[in-house]
Amino acid sequence: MELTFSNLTKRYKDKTAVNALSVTLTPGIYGLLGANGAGKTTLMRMTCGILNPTSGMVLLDGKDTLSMGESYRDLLGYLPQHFGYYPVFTAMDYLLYVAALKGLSASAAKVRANELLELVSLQSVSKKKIKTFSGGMKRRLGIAQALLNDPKILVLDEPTAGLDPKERVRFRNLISEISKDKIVILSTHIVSDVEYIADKILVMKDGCLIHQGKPDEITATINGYVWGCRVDPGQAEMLNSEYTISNLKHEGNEDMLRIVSEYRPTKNAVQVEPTLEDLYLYYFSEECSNEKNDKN
Amino acid sequence: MHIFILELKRLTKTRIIWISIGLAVVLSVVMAFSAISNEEYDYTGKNGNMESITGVSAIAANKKQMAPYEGKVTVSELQSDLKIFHKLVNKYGENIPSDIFLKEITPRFQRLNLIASWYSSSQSTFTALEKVQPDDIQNFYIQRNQKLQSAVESKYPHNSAVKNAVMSLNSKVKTPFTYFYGLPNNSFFILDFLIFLLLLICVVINTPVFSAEYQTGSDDILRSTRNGRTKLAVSKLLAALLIDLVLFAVSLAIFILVVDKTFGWERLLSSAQMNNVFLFLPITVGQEQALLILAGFFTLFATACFSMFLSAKCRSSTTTLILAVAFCLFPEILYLITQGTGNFTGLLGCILPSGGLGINNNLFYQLGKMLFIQVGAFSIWSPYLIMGAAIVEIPLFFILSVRAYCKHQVA
Repeated sequence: MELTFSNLTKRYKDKTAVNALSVTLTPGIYGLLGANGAGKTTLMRMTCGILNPTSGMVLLDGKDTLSMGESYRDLLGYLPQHFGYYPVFTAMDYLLYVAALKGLSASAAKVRANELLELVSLQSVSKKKIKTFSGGMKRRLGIAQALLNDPKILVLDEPTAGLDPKERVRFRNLISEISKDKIVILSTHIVSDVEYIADKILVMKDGCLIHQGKPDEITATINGYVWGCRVDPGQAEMLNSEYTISNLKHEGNEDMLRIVSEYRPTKNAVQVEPTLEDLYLYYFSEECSNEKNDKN
Repeated sequence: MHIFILELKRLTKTRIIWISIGLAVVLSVVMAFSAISNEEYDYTGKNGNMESITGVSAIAANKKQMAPYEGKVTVSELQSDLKIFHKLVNKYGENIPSDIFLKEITPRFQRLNLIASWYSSSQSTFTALEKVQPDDIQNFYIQRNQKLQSAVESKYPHNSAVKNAVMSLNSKVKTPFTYFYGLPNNSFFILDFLIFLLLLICVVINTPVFSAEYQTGSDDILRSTRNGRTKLAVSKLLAALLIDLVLFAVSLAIFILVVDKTFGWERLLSSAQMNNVFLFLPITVGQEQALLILAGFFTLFATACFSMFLSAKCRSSTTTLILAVAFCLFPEILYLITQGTGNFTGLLGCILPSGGLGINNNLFYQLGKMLFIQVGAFSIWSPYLIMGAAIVEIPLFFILSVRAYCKHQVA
């Protein structure tokens, strides 16, 4: 199975959300990294046929997915960034409803819904209305609905948003378990979510795919750009305003900094092994500081 | 079919649907009660004063009192009624004693009113009747036709097509007229108003159909399931329309059953001209009622489809609701501003999806107004235009809704 994005472009009035993106995906887990507005969600929505591309195509084994229609959508499981649910439905009702939409028979839907509720630890609240659920519970229900039809192509947009660390670990394990013979595309801001399980990372910026590869290959592209150093708190503050700091830890009278920079930031700085988070910060430090400023 | 049933089940799980159906039932009962309680029967009490009863007992008393006057309204009966009126006026002037008035005039009032409105629409019944002599109405029905023709010629002096259309329809009006107690002047107005309120309820049901799904994001999941957009859109539209239909049917059935059963089914056999002497449509009161319901049904469905079209276009259900309600009220507001004058505003008032429903701009009034709207080379009678526009708009907005849903894309 090959899912190919061929020169995929989506333009809105004054913005190109996805710009001539081309990549071929084979079964495996793909972590989609990018700052807000990088085009991840647009790409995922085009993958699911919710948005039509301005130009280019999404091809499955060489066939245009738009023309495949039902036979393509039968292979899809999708969790949108904003998971829309029906508040008055119970978790079980909701899964049965989506299962019916996905073409499962009533008996098969019941079995599958129970399995998935168990899998996402919602079995005990299966008869409770979704409106009473916490954010994390809703997210888990969203993941369950995406898996109902045992999809061959699973598209998860920010699946771990709102999940606590324990739930995130469960989710990662779950995705690893079910990913055999599937193409799983998941976007997240939480880099560690994809770092451990993704076979390949796709990095998007301004609608373009700027990097792709295995996590270690891709982090290798910033080899020599990550530094570790010990400085006094005054200097740490100064460095913080000048460089992208990926970690800051107080140790006694000193601060231990992890800095992402193409140049040695201090005389005593030593090169350290880059991580995916460093890579993210390297490419998106500007967007990250903008987000920080927006929040402030 | 499968998706349609699923959508229907989903809708019936929402509270708004049950509240709406409950509200529609309550409204129909309240409106039926209002139509019945408005009925009054006056009689002379033991101490000689005029007393009144209302509601069901008034209807029963009126029925008993009117029984001898029911049936064909022949010219000789009309002349006889007029003679009695003149005799009493000659004897008592305008101050006819109440006991005599109740005994002699009240049971004949509907027929006397027919003569008065035939003679002059601008004068009070009493004044008009004083001026008409029994001999003046010896050819009442022929003279009615002549007066109708004069009225058309005076209103549309250079339009022979209108005159021909009116007179052709009028030639089929059965004479002498038939009368049974319970002419539904008031209850028809209430019926129209009830349908207008049902229309607003349906708008509340229909506006979230697509926009709420866009707003919450649940639409994204639906679109990524095996069913294509067209199938989803059609199923959603049909499910919402079926709920509208149930709501309409249940509510109207309650109203009609309660009101017609209470007043008596035979009232439906009366000539519609007993309500409006110059109505040129050859129908009975029962047919007029059926026409009002049918027109109401088409108008409600046209508006329902239009509001779902707005829903498919807008991203927020609040915006959709505001726009849909504004469009519903627009023909009524337009009528209040223009008082129904002007060809273009008349046209707008008729062809907008909710045209023909409202307090003033309703089909019941339009039936009696002899209003022809100029559309290009054609002059179209306003009730035809209202019905025709609604019939065209139902499939039109249905298709446009499907198209808008299929084309809808959000970044």
